[in-house]
Amino acid sequence: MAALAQPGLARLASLAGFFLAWQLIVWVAAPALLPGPIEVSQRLGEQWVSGELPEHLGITLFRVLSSFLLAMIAGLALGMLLGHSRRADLALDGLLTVFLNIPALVVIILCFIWFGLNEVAVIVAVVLNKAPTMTVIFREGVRAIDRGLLEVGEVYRLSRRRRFLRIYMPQLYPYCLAATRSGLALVWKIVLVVELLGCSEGLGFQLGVFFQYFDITGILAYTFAFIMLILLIEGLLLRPWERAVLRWRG
Amino acid sequence: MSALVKLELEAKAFDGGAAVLGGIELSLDDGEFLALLGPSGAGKTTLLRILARLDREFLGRLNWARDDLRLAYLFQESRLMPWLSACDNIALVVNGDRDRAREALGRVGLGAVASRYPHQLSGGMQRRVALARALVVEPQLLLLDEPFVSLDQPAARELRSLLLAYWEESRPAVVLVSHDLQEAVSLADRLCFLGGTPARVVHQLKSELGRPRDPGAADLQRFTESLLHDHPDLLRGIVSLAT
Repeated sequence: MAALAQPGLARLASLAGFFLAWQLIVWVAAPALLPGPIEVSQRLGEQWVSGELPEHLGITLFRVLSSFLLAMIAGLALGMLLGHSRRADLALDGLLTVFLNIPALVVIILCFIWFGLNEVAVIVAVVLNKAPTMTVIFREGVRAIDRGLLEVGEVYRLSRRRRFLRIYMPQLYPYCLAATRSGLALVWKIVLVVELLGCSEGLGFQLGVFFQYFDITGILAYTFAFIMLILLIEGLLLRPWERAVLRWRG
Repeated sequence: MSALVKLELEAKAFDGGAAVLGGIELSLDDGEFLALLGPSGAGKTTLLRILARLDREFLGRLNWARDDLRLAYLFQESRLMPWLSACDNIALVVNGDRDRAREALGRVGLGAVASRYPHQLSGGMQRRVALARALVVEPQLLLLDEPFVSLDQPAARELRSLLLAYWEESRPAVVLVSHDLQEAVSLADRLCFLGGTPARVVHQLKSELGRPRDPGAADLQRFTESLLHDHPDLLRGIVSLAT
């Protein structure tokens, strides 16, 4: 049991336990509407080899990353504006609350009606859904900035650029991290809904097709493909970034 | 010789409130060691921030001999970047020059903890890192805001001697804000007492004491005693007119 104390092993063990239990249930009860993990992974392999899965996955991933980045930039810019200017905060706070509370589905439908069934509508819909929460996170971050530290930069004549990059931004990094964490998870869920409603390629579209054929194995295979991708992003990008940013906290 | 820094302050108030500082004229020569004394709340820190150009919202004029005057400011708190190591905190103000930063840390006796983060250092050590950061830029004007407050005796003594050693060697102009007369007398050449509302300079004098000075020495004691004899309430910002 001592080995389980290591976080990596514990994570692996809990996942393995989950798949094992799942397969056991399928073997024992043979439910009609639940294929086992072996069947699902076989389908995953077939779809991967045929090239169909990578294509849809790639398109969805592109949509997720581009809309996420745009939402992040918009949220950062707006958050800085609202965090620094009391007047802007007073003027826009009500509007922000409105945007925070418009249902995602409404924004998606309106974007398709206004922009047509195209890529612009997809990206705009996701950004409009996500940017307001990012704005709120970054506004908090900007308000928490220690002005005393900025004065150090002023006293010692650091260039504007250096003050921004070395004193201002590092205080926002934990907020960037939080926004990324919560952002990525939500953005890809929104993208799937957008694709289901108005696209002819991508994971969401493909899931819609499987739904029409009652192809549960297909649905699960695509779900796992995407979850694995997210885990890869988490392990290869987010965790190392987090370690670098929060290293000083020890 | 024209002054390094010359302030002609008419008034300073915060956000339309009553003035905290009134008419104050202050000039500082190259290499001069000035102490600003006064009761707490008298506006000493505000005055220091004005001299540093951190606060530009006041009535009056501030003149620096050069616009590129090399400035260092030891704040009441150490104000180190918590996400940078001791060494990187210092390197930050010298364009990332780590060699200079390490050397400066060595001079304050902290060479061994260069890679530690501020929260891993004691309060006294953090203060010394801040002093190293101030001295590494080789300031022409060094502003000190109660640098020894909230330090234990040995740490304060050590910081004081590091500071004096640097001043003897490089002779920057120094403004020391303090409420401790003993400390100010043992360090400064000129004493400036603030008092009243809005605060003004209520008394000013030069000390002719030689250096090095021992805080316990007889001439220093005599100087302090005679000052307090003439003006018993000087540290509360009140000058006796009866002398």
